Amino acid sequence: MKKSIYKLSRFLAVAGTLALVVPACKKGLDFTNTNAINPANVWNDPNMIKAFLNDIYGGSMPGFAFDGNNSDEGINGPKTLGNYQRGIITADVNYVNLSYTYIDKTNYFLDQLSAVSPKVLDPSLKNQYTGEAKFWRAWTYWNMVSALGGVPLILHTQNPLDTTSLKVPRNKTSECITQIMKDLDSAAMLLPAVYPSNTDFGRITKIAAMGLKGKILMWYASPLFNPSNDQSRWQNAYNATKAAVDSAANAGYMLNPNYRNIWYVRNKEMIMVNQFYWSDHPMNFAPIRPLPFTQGSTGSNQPILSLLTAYPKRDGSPMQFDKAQLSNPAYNAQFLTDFYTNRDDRFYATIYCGGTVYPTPDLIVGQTGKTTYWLAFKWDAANNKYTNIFGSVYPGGAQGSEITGFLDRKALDTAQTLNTVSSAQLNGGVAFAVPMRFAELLMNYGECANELGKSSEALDVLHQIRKRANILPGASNNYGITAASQADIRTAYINEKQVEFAFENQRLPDLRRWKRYDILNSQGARHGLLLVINPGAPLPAPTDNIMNPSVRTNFSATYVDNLDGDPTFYFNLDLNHWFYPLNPAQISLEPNNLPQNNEWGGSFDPLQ
Amino acid sequence: MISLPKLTMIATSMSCLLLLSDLSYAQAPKEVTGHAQETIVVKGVVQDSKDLSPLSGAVIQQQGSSLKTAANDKGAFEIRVPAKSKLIVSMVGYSTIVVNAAPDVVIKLETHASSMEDVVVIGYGSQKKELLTGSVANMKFKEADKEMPSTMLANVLAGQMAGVNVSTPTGLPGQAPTLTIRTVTTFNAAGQPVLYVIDGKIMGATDFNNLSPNDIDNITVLKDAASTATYGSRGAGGVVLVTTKTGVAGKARINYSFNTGTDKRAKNVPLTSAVQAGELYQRINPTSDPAGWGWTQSDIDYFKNINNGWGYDQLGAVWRDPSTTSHNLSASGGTDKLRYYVGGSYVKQNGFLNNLKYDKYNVRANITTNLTKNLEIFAGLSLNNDLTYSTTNTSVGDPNGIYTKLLVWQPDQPVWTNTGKPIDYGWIANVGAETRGDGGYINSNYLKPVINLRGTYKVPFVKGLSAIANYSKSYTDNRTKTFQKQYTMYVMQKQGLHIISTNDTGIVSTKTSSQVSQSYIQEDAGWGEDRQLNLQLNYERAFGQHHVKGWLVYENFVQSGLGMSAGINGFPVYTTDQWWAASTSNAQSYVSNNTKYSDTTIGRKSWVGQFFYDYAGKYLASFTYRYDGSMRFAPDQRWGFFPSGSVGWVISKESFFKVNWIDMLKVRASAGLVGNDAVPSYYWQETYVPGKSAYFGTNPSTNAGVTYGSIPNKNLTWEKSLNKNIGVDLNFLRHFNATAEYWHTHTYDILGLRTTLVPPTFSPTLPAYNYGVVNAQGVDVNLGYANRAGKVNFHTNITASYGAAKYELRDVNATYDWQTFNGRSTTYIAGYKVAGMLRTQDDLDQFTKANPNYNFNGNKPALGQLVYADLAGAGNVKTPDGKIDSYDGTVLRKNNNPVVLGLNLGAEWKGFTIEATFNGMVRQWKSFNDLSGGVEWNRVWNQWYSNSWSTSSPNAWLPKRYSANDGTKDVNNSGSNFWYANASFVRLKFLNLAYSLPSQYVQKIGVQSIRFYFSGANLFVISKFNKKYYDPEMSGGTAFPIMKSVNFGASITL
Repeated sequence: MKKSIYKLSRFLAVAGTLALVVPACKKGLDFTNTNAINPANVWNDPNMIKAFLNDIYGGSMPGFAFDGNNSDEGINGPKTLGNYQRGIITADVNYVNLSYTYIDKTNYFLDQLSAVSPKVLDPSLKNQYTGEAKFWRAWTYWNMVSALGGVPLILHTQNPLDTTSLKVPRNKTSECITQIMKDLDSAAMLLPAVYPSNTDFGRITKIAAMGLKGKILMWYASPLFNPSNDQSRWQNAYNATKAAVDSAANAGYMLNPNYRNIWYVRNKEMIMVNQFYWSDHPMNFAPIRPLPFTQGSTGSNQPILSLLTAYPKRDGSPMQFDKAQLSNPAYNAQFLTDFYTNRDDRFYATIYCGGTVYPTPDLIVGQTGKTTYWLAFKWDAANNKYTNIFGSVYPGGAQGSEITGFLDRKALDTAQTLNTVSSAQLNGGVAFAVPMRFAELLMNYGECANELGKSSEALDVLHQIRKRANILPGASNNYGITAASQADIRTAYINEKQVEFAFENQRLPDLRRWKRYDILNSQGARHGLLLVINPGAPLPAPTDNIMNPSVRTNFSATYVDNLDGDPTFYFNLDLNHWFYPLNPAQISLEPNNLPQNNEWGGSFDPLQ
Repeated sequence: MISLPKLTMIATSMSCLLLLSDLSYAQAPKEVTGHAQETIVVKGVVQDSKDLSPLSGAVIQQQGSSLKTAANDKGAFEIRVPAKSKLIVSMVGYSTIVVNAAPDVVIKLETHASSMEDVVVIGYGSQKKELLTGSVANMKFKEADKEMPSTMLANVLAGQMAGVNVSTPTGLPGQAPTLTIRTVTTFNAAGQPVLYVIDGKIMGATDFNNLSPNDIDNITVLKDAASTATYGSRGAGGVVLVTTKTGVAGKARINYSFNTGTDKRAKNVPLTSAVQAGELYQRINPTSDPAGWGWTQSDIDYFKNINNGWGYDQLGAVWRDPSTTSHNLSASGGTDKLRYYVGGSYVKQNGFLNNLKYDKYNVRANITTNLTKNLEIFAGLSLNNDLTYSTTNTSVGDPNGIYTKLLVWQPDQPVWTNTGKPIDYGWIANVGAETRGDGGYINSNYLKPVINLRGTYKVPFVKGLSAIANYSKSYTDNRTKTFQKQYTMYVMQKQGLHIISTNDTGIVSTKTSSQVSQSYIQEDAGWGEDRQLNLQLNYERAFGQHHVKGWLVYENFVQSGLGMSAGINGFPVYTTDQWWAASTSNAQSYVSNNTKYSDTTIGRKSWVGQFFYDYAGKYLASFTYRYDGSMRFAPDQRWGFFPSGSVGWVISKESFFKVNWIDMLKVRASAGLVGNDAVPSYYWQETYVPGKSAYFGTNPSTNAGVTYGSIPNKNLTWEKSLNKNIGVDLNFLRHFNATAEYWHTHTYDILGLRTTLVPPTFSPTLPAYNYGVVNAQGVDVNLGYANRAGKVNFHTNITASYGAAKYELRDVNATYDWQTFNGRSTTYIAGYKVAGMLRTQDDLDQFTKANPNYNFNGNKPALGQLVYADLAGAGNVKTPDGKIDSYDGTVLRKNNNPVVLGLNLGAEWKGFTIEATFNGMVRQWKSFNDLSGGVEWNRVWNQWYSNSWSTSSPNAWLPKRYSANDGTKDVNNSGSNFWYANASFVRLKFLNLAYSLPSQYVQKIGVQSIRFYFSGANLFVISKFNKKYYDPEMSGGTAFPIMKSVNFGASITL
């Protein structure tokens, strides 16, 4: 027994020693991370520094939004009027997020850049990059401030280890505006109005910084931020917008003579541009193309009556529309003739009308040559509804769910074909998104001028805008603008902006800035204008075109009161909530520093 | 005085001695003679009743006499006994049986249900089951287990072992079930992966599922930390150990088996017919046409004549019942010096679509040789090759997506003309045509050879010491070839929106499909290799009654991989799936990184020690540690120590233990620390990564961007689980065995995002930190019974397990009270609480009168809507504010932990056997909210047609159906208790009926055995949820269903 215990303990001693001694070898686990960029190679390499800024551009520069469904520009289909537009609002759903991703990237970039030695980066480039980064910081802050009012101002890289330093309270709106102006002034100082090198086309310029400054000061003077109509704000805005227009003009910027080509040809109207081109940076226009020429998503931004009639006639006079008289054949025929043939350039550049040729290389199924795309309707008495005639004109053709007979064609890539599986495999040409253009600088300036009573300056801008649209000057050389009082000119601006900037993501923000949701609410439901084939009239031939008067005689314009098809769908925007609420899920992370806006039950006043 | 324990000891050793001496003198049976009676010479063989392996060492004794002999290594014996005497045949681990003496007998022994003498593989070695102190479940593969109609090995484990939970996968070829061991005790995004070890080599779940069941000898599952601590930083999810077959010395045994079978799909949720879909569309949208899909009465009337109103069954038009055929061939045998097992199998699966197939090849050769008396070499070579032929997935996704799409798709869209031409039904493609290959294919070829070499050397001068060197290497070659092409569709005459001609005479023109912009060919290639080196010292020796055993292991593992994708768009002249035919223009070709196989190398090193001690097999103890190093962590965080210990006491061996009906009673307890290193590599390093691009220049070009990666966490480490396990093993009344275990796991340092640490104004991606805590506990119970009644052998085994985990520390941005985690079960369910439905105008009037400000996220109450309990106001104030918003969400169910049940039944009678496995879950809730969705221009759940609220059916069960485009639908469809139901179920997971021809007949033709069988999987499920909605193990009502599989097979052994 004793012997066995002795042996056992001897075994345990040996085993224990082995177990303790053996694991001494701990080497050999130092592998290299081959899937990331080594930090040591970034801030001493001019290309990498530039590449960091590229990412900021890539993540901040807007593209196409296709959001006409948010206002009275277009409709995406029946029952698509949003809850916000119907007045069904709650902070849980309608919130806007604080989004600091590109604030931090610009802060980090600026902090790192300031430490880069001139041996690494030429000082002129360093200045340029600083200016570009400051512009984007201002841009990102403005996106938040315009929606929410003041937000926490963070201007340097934060230290995540010092968590108390991360807690920054909301700054006053006025403080944010001041800081944004500081960045934009600095950017304007550091950046050229036009880049000398062609390879830099598309970078932010001095003009973009000045343009943004003018726009922000105009917003800050507008009823949303300036309910007491403090005239000094308008004066500031006027000065800034005028400076932007003047500098731009001095640098050669101007209205592009051809409105449609603003989005197809590089031109002097582009202040900011996001170039979409096949095949490196393609834009998929599937959402706004009609079903036979696309796949999957379709039917966005179908123009509705309010937009269709907003475009003036070629002589500048309003496109009158009286639904009560449509039953009068003579009125109807004249209306159609005016509607299709007597409009300004912008109408044709922005709106595709069913019954004309759709701008695509694709052919309609079964057709061997270019034919009209017949997006029109006939009355189906048996079922008490209008039905699309496309399938009858082209037997077997797939008719889409398009309901208005009109489509958004602004900036549409006309070389793009049906084969659009994903943006990566799409065939196409070019389509430039132009988030800021000279026309906007002009109209901002004109609007500010009007608010200061400088009506001739304001009217002159409108005339320039209309002249470019090839509207006839008329006998009184007023391009159809009859407004004279400040209030009338203001209305003229509201109308002109709707037309000039249709589908450019300006309409709803403008209406909010002016606090004029009543313009939408007074319309009631979203109305349609259908092109309907007359009872007993023959179907059009595939090559017929609605621009042809004899073809038109077979059709009538018909008014549809509610395109959503449901009486509970009508514009009923809430007139007591003008700022958006902060996301409750962000407030709960930082309740003391992020008070909710006062319109939404919180303590923060965005007007301060 | 001699103490009681000493007496027992003496008694035990005496009996051992006696047994040995008995056997030794029984070696000469010829000496025994009898004159009074006629004697006969019995020549026989003893076999395992299941796999017919020879039972070397089985004892054959004449009843009523001490005359006995033992079977040799071929299972053969010879004994001279009086005629008409009876022979008792016994063997450790098997039920003893009595047979009549006859000149030529084949004796088959059943394994005993309570075979505590079994040796169980436990990681880097093995241990006798009776000496185990940890929580270990073992499953010896039976004949029936190989005959399961499944190509995924994990399916075989369902319902077999308590605490081993196996989900039922969809019936798509190659779909593997999810296997979890006990309850997951982490909230880390990567979960707690189960570790798979195949013949000592650590491998992946895919490798496990790809094994051929024919090659498997047994599977062990390690459940508690005392057992899994051998795998240290990867043991927290439990470990599955697989031992493949090795040869047994003796005559060569050659087995061939074949089976073939088909699958029938179990039900999806019942859907609307064409006529119902049309009527429902009009009912939902009486005045509008949100999808441009409005139905007229004449449309509906037309479809009354298409398939009796069902319309075109797009799935039915392309569906075929999946089928599986397999062939298995194996040979094993050998001599004392060299033993071999060689097996090969081929499984062919045809999926539900013409263009969906799955072929699986497995080859294995396990050779063991004894080069010298002390040196044994094992060489295991295996090869797995999976070939998947699949339809293209550009139009609606993978076969899962295709299934759902075809199931619900517009019932007015015919797939084929009357001569089988694909119809253009107005979309980019005809999905039916793609399922037969018109649009090309995606074929993949997965090849994995594994080489496993092991040398075991018994050190001659140290008794009980042996050394093992094991080197294994595997390669993974993964290639996927994609060929996609455009094809011709036929444009048909149409009347209105819905009526499409299917007659060839109605062809108007043709149209080229546009599911791809141009035909292309692409190859994705991935290559991986890994190697594992183990050096091990084993020691086992008895010092009197002290028995010690242990091993020390060094393990080194390195894995690397690389890969790329390349393709060419366009075929200039001739479109075929060959590279030579594709465009030669540089602009048309592309190459990119294959993210699945990026060029990386990872590695681990470990030191393992495991020690066992027992005193007379009565007092048991073990100690295990692993010292683990993983390159996933920063150099100073790289090494971790994982110790565990356990003790056991076999009470029934104590002399004071005098309970007659208890054959064996053991109590055991263990505690240990294990880790989970399921963490991405290099989280601890600062990095920059590719960012977004900008496009500058009048001749624009891509200006590629870079940006910072996430903030590094230099202190990153593995999460740890401190697990305790208490178990009782009991064998009683000779035929019963039972195990009950209770476990508790405290998991800490769980890797998670500290969401509440920084305000929303801090935007860089914070790294995950090790901070979370989850506590969990549970029980596993197992009860087995095996007996014989007349000529029927039967056995049954019931398993049950329950586990509950609770968040102790988990950050959450709890905007609403119901979002808080801490203190709540990991499976709690939150949502709105339904207070009623507004069925009549009267209801609505009364409701609005009583609740004047009531709205649901801004929506005013309306007829046919659910109304919810107003529980709180803004800012989580516990007073109703008249409005229903997210603050009114509440905990609907504190936990949703099911009790997982398994039941195995088996019986044998005269060569007929039946084996059945049921598994089930009770006490479980499931949401059927997926049925509230669906767009009304597709087929939807038919209850929306027949049982939803309208003014004419105010008492219907479901609320009003809104259009999918209408935001108001959220009022009814938001997550609430309305959309939950009890999802308990019991499933007949597996049934096997087999008949083996009597051996006396088959042996005459030189065959050892012939077996025929029928087996079925998932034949039925008993569940209320299934009856009312769909199978509770399905992900949704229109998902690819679980398959009922049946197959027939035969097996012949030479």
